[in-house]
Amino acid sequence: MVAIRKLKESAYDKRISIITIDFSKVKELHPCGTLLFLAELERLFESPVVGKKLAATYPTDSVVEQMLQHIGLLQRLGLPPRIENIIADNVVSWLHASGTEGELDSIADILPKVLTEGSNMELRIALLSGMAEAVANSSEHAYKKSTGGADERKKWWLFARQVGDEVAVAICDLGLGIPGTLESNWKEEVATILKTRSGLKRLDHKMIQLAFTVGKTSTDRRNRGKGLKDILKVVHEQQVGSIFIYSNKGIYVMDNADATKVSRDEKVSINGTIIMWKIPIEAFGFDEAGRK
Amino acid sequence: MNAMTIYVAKDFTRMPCVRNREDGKNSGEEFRDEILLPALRTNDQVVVDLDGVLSLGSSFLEEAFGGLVRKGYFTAKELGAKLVLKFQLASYVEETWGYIKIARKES
Repeated sequence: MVAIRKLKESAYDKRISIITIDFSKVKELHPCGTLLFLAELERLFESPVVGKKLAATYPTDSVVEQMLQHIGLLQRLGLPPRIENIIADNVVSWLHASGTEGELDSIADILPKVLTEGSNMELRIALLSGMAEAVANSSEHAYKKSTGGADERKKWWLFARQVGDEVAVAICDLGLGIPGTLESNWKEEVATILKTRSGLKRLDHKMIQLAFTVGKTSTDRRNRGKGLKDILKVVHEQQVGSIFIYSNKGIYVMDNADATKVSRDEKVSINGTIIMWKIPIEAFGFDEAGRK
Repeated sequence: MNAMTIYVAKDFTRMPCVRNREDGKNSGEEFRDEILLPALRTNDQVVVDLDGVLSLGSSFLEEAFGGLVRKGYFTAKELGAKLVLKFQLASYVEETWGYIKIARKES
């Protein structure tokens, strides 16, 4: 987060003409962190002035370079691809997609097979419905309703992979975050809940938890904000895998394997939302032949 | 009695996603207004076959089906008599009927 903050500050600093992103010391990439970094960079590229300022050095770690080349980031930063064949298992297995609004159709054919053909239909529909709702949320609620250029801002970024014993899907948007959209869509309800539940503070991780329940008992605006329950379906109803939700400063993690539940705030906001599901491949009812 | 079947995965999209047209393509609103509503208006019975779709999010389902009542096109009772929902997973059919039943016509 420090790197992203510094990058954004420098990008809009008129005294700085060139920003070089040094990847040489990067040894490992976490999917959520990479997704957020990619999203923030793409946002900066949308500005013609800022985009021209950005440059980079090649990574020294081969796998890191393969991944950054695989997702097209090095090319965007003006570094021609050096690796002819990307072969690292933990790179080629990642599907990377981004889109504006609800353009999920484009990824239906390239999703990992287990998500479209696994015999546990309840689980795969639950996961993809959660993913669709995360995209719907980024289109419907996540960005400020602003004039001019608003459509460009309704963007989401997605990583998905099926490798070894696990399927992972991560989706990111740089909108208001779940706490922000909760307050804008359910202002009165949130105020009432905060007033009646003593000790419940307006912390982002508390707002994430509240987002999963608010609206259930409301008698009006019943059509709003139902999607967040879909996001939890895999871990709540199917009771498999784990979910990681990062929204603004809030973190909410639930892992069925060891019954872990984490809910806390970080010091720095990610200014958006990342949701990642990790699910054991065997839960999808996929046979050995279908594994990568 | 005339009847028709709408195959959502074939006739509309395999990945229903967003609620409103302004949120993106293949929205619940688009499905309702362009496909479902004309079918309901011209047929005594309409079967909506959801088999083959890869996702069924609440935003899409509520807007497409609950929206029929909210927008005042039909009452839940009328839909009960002429709409049939078909999907391998019964819980999604029940969820959708839930949206229809709790929807109230917007004033």
